[in-house]
Amino acid sequence: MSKLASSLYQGLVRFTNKSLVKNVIVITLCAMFLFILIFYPYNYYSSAQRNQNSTFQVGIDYVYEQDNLSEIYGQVAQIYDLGFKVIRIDFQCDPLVYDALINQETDMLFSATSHYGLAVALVIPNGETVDDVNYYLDRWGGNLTYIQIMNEPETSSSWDVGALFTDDEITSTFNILYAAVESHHLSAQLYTNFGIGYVLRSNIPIDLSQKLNFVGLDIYMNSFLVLSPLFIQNLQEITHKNVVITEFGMSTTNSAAQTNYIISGLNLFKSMGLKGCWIVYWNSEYDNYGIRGTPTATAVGDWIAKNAK
Amino acid sequence: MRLVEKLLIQGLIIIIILIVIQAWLDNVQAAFLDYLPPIGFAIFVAISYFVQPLIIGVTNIAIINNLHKTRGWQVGFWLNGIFLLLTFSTLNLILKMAFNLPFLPVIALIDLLLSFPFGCIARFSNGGWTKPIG
Repeated sequence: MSKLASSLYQGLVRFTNKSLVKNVIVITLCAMFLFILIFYPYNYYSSAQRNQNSTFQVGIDYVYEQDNLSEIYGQVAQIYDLGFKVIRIDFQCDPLVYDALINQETDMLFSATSHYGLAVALVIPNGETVDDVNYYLDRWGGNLTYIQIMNEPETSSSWDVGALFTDDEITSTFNILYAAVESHHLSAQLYTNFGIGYVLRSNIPIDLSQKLNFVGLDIYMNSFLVLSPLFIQNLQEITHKNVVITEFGMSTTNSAAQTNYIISGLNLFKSMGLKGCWIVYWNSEYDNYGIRGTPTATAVGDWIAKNAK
Repeated sequence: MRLVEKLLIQGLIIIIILIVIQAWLDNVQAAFLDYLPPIGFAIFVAISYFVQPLIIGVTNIAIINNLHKTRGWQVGFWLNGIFLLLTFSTLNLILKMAFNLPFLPVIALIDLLLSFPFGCIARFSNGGWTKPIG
């Protein structure tokens, strides 16, 4: 028996010692290790519920300017009832007409969020003027918990194809907006969000994060959800700041797919020990991101009740 | 020298080189990424996935040829190096995620303790010839 085993072992050694066979084995193992490196982090965090006792804040992007003035208060109440802790809003104001409809809507929104004790995150877009920022922060700055300076600056300066910011443009625009925000001495935490493209322009989050309280990462599509643990860990390592998922959603008419995507993301991000995840959007007139009135909203509410403290 | 000792020495040398390069890359990553973007990023990627595997691959076959009195090689330097680098990275990733350990000093110490099995893998991953080439 031992002679048979010995001859089998010798045969195996002779076979694998051939250069061609050895190359094939090495290449196959390389491919296997590569798959493990890519997929193991996602599988690790999503296979079991880790960090169950950590605090996790679920937020939502509310496009209140698409609703009527009379609807806004009720919508904020619905968002609160579902358990959301943060409402993320776009920069909407008319500095020239004090009682303009959009200003009334913004007043209404802050009135509701103050009443329900919801935190508000304001997005200051890339092209915003300092005068408008000053007007907004003078009038509503005290209501803000988070202020986002620029939106995915590494991606583009507008929605036009090829409209990329240069590094200098990003830094100078960021510094101007940052100085404007800082001059108001608000207690709000500052952050900037980045898309997956930050990987190719990593110097931008490294530079900007020095003045920020945390950094945001925006995740769309299943493929990037699977890869997100790698991106999140990398962003944490290079910026030395906490990462919050500031945009997370799926534009689809398939409610089951949307629910599945969002719930699996929430499970993953909580399991990773992140501080929070903000979903896009509550309402969305021009695409299918909005979860208002869909089974997804109910499912997210149930998830928050069970998992978010 | 016995085979076990040869494998241990081989694993120890390769592991030490991998730890030193990994620690150095972790330390200078931000500086590379911030250097004349995107040139620094390209240099960082080139060092991580081209230069590092070459160093590991060349070192591995040099050790094999010295310890086992062979000549030449069966697997190319880069392929051999990237294989050992991927093995090392996969092991470290699993240790980091499953036990939430930092690379320095804990994972590095565990890597050193695994020098012998790593030496076996390194020896298996390449080999020379006992007779004159050509």
